[in-house]
Parts: sequence; C-alpha cells; structure tokens
Amino acid sequence: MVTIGAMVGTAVRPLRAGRHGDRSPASIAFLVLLWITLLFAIAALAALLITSFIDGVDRLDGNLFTQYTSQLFPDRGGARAAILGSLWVIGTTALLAIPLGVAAAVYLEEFAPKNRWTDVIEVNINNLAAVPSIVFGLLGLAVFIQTFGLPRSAPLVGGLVLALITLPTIIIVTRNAIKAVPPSIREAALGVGASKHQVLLHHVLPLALPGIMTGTIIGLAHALGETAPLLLIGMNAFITSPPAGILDASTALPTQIYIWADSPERGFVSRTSAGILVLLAFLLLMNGLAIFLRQRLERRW
Amino acid sequence: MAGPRVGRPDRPTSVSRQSSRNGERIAMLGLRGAALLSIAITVGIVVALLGPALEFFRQVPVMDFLSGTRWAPRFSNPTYGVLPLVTGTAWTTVIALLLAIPFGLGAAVYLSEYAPTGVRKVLKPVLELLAGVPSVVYGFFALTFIAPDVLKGLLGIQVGTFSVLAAGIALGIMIIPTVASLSEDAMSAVPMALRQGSFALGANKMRTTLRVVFPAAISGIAASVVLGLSRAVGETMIVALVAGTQARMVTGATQPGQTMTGFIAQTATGESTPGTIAFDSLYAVGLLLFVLTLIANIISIRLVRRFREAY
Repeated sequence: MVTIGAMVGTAVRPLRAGRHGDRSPASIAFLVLLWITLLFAIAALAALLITSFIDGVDRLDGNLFTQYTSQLFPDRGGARAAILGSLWVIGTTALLAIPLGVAAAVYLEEFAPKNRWTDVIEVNINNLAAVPSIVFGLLGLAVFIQTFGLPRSAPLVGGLVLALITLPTIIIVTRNAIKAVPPSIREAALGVGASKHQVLLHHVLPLALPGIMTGTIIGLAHALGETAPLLLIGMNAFITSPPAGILDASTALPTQIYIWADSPERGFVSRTSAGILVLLAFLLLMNGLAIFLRQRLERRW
Repeated sequence: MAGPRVGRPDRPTSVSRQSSRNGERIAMLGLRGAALLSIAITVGIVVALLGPALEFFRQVPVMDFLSGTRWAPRFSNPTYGVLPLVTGTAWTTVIALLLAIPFGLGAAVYLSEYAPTGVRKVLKPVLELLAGVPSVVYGFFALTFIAPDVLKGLLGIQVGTFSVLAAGIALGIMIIPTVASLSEDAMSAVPMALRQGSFALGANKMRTTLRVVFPAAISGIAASVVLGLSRAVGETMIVALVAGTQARMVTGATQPGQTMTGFIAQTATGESTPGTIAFDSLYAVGLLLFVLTLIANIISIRLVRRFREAY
C-alpha cells in the first residue's frame, strides 16, 4: 500500500508541485517566518550596538583611558582604573586557569583509567560549566574572603573566582583539541621509543595547541565580561585608582559599568555607553584573535 | 624497575634515563591533582553554601522559607518567605523562553536545513557575537532602550523603569544563541538518509523539516531549551539592573519584581554585615538557586547524551 502510494506520489509530483512542492504558499510562508526569526536576532544585535554607539561615541576620547572616575564631575571622569583593574584580574585568571585547566584535561584524556572515578570527574566538570556565575561569587565570598581572609576587591580574589568559572571551559576545549590529534602521530612516536610523557609533550600538545589557544581566548573573553562574581567579592566600591598589586583593592570594567548604569544621573548614561563600547571593543579583539588563530593554525587531518 | 627489559604493550621499553621516569611520576601526580581540583570546587561550592545556609535554616524553618510569600528581612518582625523571589525568577524566565524558543529554533532550522553555505558563514558568527555580549551590557540596553523606547514608545505598554517584561525580553535575546546552537547541532546530526527518504516519498522541504528532522532531533532540542532555561534562571546582571529591587509576588509582566539572583547581588553589595541572619539568607537563596540549576543541567546533559547516542 505504501509503496504504491509512494510510486503514485512520485509520478504525480510535477502535477502537485503547486500544492505540496517547495513553492507552495505554505512553504513560502514557512521560509519567510524563518527569515523573520533570523532578522530579529540580527536586529537585536544591531540595536544594541547602535544605541551604545550613539550614546557613547562623544565620550569615546582619550579621557576615557587616562582619567579616573569622578563623582563630582561625571562628564570629565574616565574609566582608567576600571580598564587597568580588568587587565589585572584577567591576567590573574589566565595565570591560574590555563596551567590547571590544561593539566587536568591532559590527565583526563591521556592518563586517567576508565573507571567510576573518572566518570564522576567528567560529569562534575560538565555540571560546573553550567553553574550560574553568581554561585561562584558566593563561593568566593564565603571561602576566599571570609574563611581565608583575603582582601576584598583584590585582583587575586577576582582572578581566583574567574579562574574557577573558566576552568571547566578550558578543560573541555583542551580535551577536544587533544582528541583531534590522530592516533597515528602518537603511535609513530611510541614506535621510535618515546615514553607516554614524551609523546604528549613533544608531539601531541604542540599539535593541539591551536585548538587550546582558540578555546582559551574565548573562555577568557567570556570571563572579561563577567560581572556578578566580581560584585560579590567586593568590586562594587567606588574605587578611583588602579590596583598597586594583586592584593590591592581594585575595580573592573564590567562592574564599573554596572555601578554607572545603576546611577540615576544623566551624565552617567553617555559615560556608561562609552565604557560599554570599550568593553565590546576588547571582546571583539579577543574573539577576532581567536577566530584568526583558528583559521590560520587549524590543521585538517 | 629492575628485571629483564621486556616491553609492555602500553609502555614500550624506554631508551630514556631512569630519572625521566621519576619526573614523570611527579608530573602524573600533578596532573591527577589538577583533575581532582574540579571535584574540590564542587565540594567547595556545596560546603560554602551549606554552612551559612544551615545557620539560616536553624533560625528560619525550611517550610516557612519555601512557602512564605513575604520577603521582608529588614522589618522589625522579619519574614523570609522565598516565593516572591521565585515568582520574579519565574516571570523573567518564562518571558525569556517565550522569546528564545521560537526565535532560537527558527534560526536553528534555517541554519541547519535551508541556509546556503555563504549565508551560514555570516550568520553563525553573528549568533556567536550575540552570545559573547556581556550580560551587564544587555541589562543596560534593557534599561535605556527596551523599556523606554521599545515598550513604552513603540508598543505603548505602560511599564515603569523596572519591569519583569523588559528584563525577560533582554534575557530572551541573550539566550537565543544558546537555544539556536544546540538545536542546530541536534538537527545537523540527523542523518541525510532520513531526509532523503522523506523527499523520496514526495514530501517537500517544509514537511520534511517539521515531520522528520524535528522529531528526530527532539531530545537535542529539548536539551537546548532546558539549558536556556538554566541560563535564564542563573542570570544576574540583566535582572539586577532592570527587573527591580523590591521582593514582591509578581502577578503581571509589567510589574517590577526581584529575582533570586537579583536579590543575591543586591544584598551582597548592600550594607548587610556578614554573620547576621539577613546576610545568611543570601546563602540560603544561593543554595536554592544552585539546586534548581543543577537539576536543570542534569536533565539537559542526559538529553544531550541521548541525542548524541541515537546516531
């Protein structure tokens, strides 16, 4: 029955193209709907960029980078402290998260025995990747500040918390990069007498490096925009100078944007938009670098 | 290791010196330690939240917390019913999903079934860009554009500065890429053979997409929705800026309200002193948040595993 129906169907298909083919009114309506959904996403992004640009472009001068925030003269203050603070925090994050993340990924991918414990660790990492960032902020508040007594709003604490957030991403990305290296490379190295560690260090990791770098940069770009955990560890104060060291009180660009956004004075809106533009520019740079590296260094096996 | 130099299958006889083996053992310990760190983090989260939360629950019975409808920590007779915060989170999340599911799925269907390669090359980065915008930027966008210009100006909806509607819309835009990319992965994983069989039977593209590809990818699509839900529940900055700071039972989209995350952000940056019950309530709400998102994430991971295994 079905075969006969199918044969009949194919035979009369040209005749029925008007009602059921890809040019039918329903199909066209469907396609138009799909286009609308895409257009909405693009329009939203465009609206966001355009409004930020319009509001902030007049404040986008050297002042933003060289001046510190001023409560009394909002139109003259800058975001220098926040920009430098963010650099301190992200630097700390990178220093902590990259070695730990790569090490953990290498262990899980190359050396871990296939047992229950390893499964638990893997499930755990997948879960951690989706925990809301504010929960990590609570962790930082409770453990680093209240239990360990580290100073509030220090780049060290901010870096620690952001490193915890970025760690699962780096682990997952590194594992995928290592998985992508073909077994023939490893087998060849083993065949000439290298030990497992030598195969890893001299052959696998260098080949996995582009993937690791791309993923790490994207993970750090994500950390750059994180606000909630930094607010919880104390970067909500009105700090007007960059940190003198890793334990000095600091602010960061996203938290500064939040503080400005929360302020009702009009003078702050254009400055907030300018700050947002700077943040977006940094993110664009980092993501662009990651995409560029991916195109240039990726090898197709 | 003494004994005859017999090569073992996974560790061939090494020509390197003995010392490199010792270094390797230390390296192994370091690597294993790094992996175990992830477990330490999860344990750390649970313990860090549990301590003060239990302290809180010693003074406020759990049932009162979970079923109370008034959140008033600063009053002389403080009540700690968490339901107002839960309604705030629920309203923003539902509005966000109402936006993200149709638009995210539509984008995913288009990208996976209809888009020519050139268009795909442009659209995928656009979606990745949307995903990369920090949430504080979305929050400010909601505050300065969505609420005054789109809602009040364009659509004529009377909202105040704060509303769960504006927050929900910004939240929805933010999770469109999450829903879209995971759904698109799921739909691309459906083998061509299924589509070709459908075409061979005379179905057009729309019918094939809706009746064959969609149902085949349903567990991945469900996973993307659940993941989007988890992200919406856990998001802080958008709701902190735009949903409002009054913890009240939200009954309409145009009302302001406070979400669980917004409450945590507000209290932690406010004047409460650590150690007081008002501050400990922070951890109780945080624990509830962690548990809710954990459940959502576990469901999502199970669904992803199911769709990845099916093919």
